[in-house]
Amino acid sequence: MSSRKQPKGKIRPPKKPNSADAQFNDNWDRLAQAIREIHKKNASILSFEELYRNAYNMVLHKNGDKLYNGVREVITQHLEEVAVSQVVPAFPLSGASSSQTNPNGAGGANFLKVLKTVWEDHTTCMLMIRDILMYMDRVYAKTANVPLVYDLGLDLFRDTIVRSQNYPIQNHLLEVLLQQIKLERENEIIDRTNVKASIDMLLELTDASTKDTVYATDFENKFLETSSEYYRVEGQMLVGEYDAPEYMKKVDKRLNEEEQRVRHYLSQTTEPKIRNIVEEELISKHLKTVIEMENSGLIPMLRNEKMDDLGRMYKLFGRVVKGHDEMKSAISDYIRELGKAINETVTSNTTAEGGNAASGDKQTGATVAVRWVQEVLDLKDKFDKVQNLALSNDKAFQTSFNEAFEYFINKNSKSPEFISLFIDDNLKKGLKGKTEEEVDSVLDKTITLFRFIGEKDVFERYYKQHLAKRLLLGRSVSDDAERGMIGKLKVECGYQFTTKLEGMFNDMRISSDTMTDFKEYLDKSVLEKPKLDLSVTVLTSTFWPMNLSASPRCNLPPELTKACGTFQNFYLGRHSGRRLTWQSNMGTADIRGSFKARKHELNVSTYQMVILLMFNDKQDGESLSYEQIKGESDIPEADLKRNLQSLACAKYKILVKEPKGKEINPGDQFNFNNDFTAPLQRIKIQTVASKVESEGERKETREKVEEARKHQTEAAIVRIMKDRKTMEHNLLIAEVVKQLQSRFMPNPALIKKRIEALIEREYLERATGDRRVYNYLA
Amino acid sequence: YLEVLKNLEHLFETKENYDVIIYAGEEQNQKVIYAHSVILCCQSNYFRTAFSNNWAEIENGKYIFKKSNILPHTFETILRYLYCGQIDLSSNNGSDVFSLLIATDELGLQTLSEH
Repeated sequence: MSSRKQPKGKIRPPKKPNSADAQFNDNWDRLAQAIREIHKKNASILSFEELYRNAYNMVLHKNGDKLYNGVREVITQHLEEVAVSQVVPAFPLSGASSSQTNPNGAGGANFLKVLKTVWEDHTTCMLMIRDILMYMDRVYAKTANVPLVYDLGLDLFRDTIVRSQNYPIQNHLLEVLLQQIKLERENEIIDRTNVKASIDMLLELTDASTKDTVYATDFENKFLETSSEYYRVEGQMLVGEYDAPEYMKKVDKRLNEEEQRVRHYLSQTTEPKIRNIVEEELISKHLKTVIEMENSGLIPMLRNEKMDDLGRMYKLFGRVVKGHDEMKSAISDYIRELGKAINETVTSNTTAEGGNAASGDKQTGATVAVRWVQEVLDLKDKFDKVQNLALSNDKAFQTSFNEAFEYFINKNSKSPEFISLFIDDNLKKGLKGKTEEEVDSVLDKTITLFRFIGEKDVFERYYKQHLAKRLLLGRSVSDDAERGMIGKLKVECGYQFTTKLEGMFNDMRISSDTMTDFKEYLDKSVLEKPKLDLSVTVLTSTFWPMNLSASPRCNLPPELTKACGTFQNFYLGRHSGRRLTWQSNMGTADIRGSFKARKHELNVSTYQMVILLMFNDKQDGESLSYEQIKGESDIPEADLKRNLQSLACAKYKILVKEPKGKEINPGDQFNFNNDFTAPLQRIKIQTVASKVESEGERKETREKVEEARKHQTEAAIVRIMKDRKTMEHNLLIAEVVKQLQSRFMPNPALIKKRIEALIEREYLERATGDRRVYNYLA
Repeated sequence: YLEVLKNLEHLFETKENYDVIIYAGEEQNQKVIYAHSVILCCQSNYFRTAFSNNWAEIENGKYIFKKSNILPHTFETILRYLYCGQIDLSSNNGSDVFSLLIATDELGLQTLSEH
């Protein structure tokens, strides 16, 4: 044993053959020989204790560096030999032609197999070498700051085999790997274990400069590049050859395959990268083409309700940035288009009907409205279904669909009226053929359409009119359904929206109580009892949509006038200070008519009653002219025509008109039809009740709505200003819009006019310094 | 805790069911020591490697391990430490301690050298 100290620095003492050197040589020879034996797989003859002790002694005697370098040299030599004797002979036939001569890539597979064996042998040997050099690793490698011997082995393998300077191993390896992957993409079966072994090997080796794996530095980029190219070509090919559903199935399959591939033999870190490439090449680049494919793209899928295909498209396209946006806008456009078509059938129908409008056959108007709403509802159902089954109820899609519906529904200026008519229709016939639940669900759906309406105040006006007619004419099927509907509207728009509607119901209830009292009053009173049953409904004028000032006059028969007088006295006696106005256009009467065949009980409107009673004074066969009737009854012309039509031209012809025809014209003559027969005793003469408004009425409604909007806008302005005291113009406008938009969309010009009107009336003033600011004047 | 140590010490002393035969020291100073491979392997990387499939030398079902450059006495001290985690240096003289330190360095038993 010697404890010879080496001087510091690089200067070494002159080599003298001494006992220490001899011992070193002896130790080293044995170790080098042992490593060779290990390489020859002859390790069983070796003694661990001895070899370990040899290495230990060398390190102990400061010969760690010599040992380390010696080991490096032995391993390098061995690997060089391996390269020549095993790896190089296994090279597949030269690159370009290899795929032709070896269509299955057998040469490549064999090469990978050899490489796998070489690699496995190397790592096994390195583990054993590490065992006997454990002391060197622990003591020398740490202090000398060199890689542990196993890592040294990896580096040597990298430089001598994988990136050999002498043989094109690297080229062959990468080419074979890429070729194997390509073969697998083309549905060949490849030996994944060999590929995986090579990939794992590349993953275990580290690139000296980047400190990244050799897999990442040498292989991954090439793999991604070739994949990109591969899928670019494939994408173009597929788009040309397949229809949209098939295309998407292929893409789906590709995505799956690549994911599987990564899972089976590539690095997980590659997964997002290759996924991006497939998504980019197969989805992003062909988004529009696939969506717009004729006969199979997005629109045909929607048309034919191909939920699976739609679902697949939703999932696939969701992978890329613009995918869902493109889908959304395509579907929205389609909805708008369908909506436009629905709107158009309506307008073409109404214009066609407009031609016969004078004929008074307005029932079709209501039918058009009902059909419009039904079609819109069907459309909504369809897209709800799509949303539900194919789009995972995606909120963003819902919003965009809603916008599309809102768009085309508001394109039809009659939509508030139509929706109200539709509700009217359901509440009137409701129970016929439909259960209450069904009616309820229809109404629920209608509410969703109602939400889309911008002009909710217009709807309210129509709804009031329709409700009034239902209530007064007793046409409503069920009180519960009516109240249910109002409840739904209340939920949507708040109680302000429905107070008047509820008031209307209240009036009906109070009136029926009043009538009971009135009967009692008549029984007890000494007055002469009227010869007819009078039933009066007292309506609060502000709740109901009737126009008081323009309330139609009409000459009632004396009996009726008298009865009305009695009631008036009774009512005003109970409620002083009220004013009653008779709405003769709203009433009905039951009268008995004697015809030749039998007597019939006729249920008619007040006007019809007035008309029929005129014939009481006439002889058989004596006729009345239109002008006579008009003059005597004083019924407004439009109503008179409508009611004459109901009597003379409709299902039950109580009157006979001369000349015949559907139209009522000045100069027509009317006769009482004594020959009238009907199977039923009791006959209800239909008056045209709800109908689409005529142009004139529509204009009137418009004007009323505009007028109401003025008031609402002013009220909103004052409310806001009272609260804020002073406010800048634009902020005020914004706030007003915010407050009003639940009822209608006020336009800024309107608001500005209202502000000016308020300034004129000295509710507001412009601030002295800044003309854009308003002050509130208390 | 103490009970456990006692049991291990008992095992160390009785060598019950030993499966390792160690030849410590050289020639006339050589001594045969019995031990248990599980204990050695779980306490030391060196022994784990020595008894691993690649390197183990087995005769009649027992591991054979020759350690000529460590004195039997030193080896016993090391073994006692591996079994019980205890070391008693009071009875040792300076040179004994020194050879013990050298041996622990070779075998990579840092925790013992720190002791």
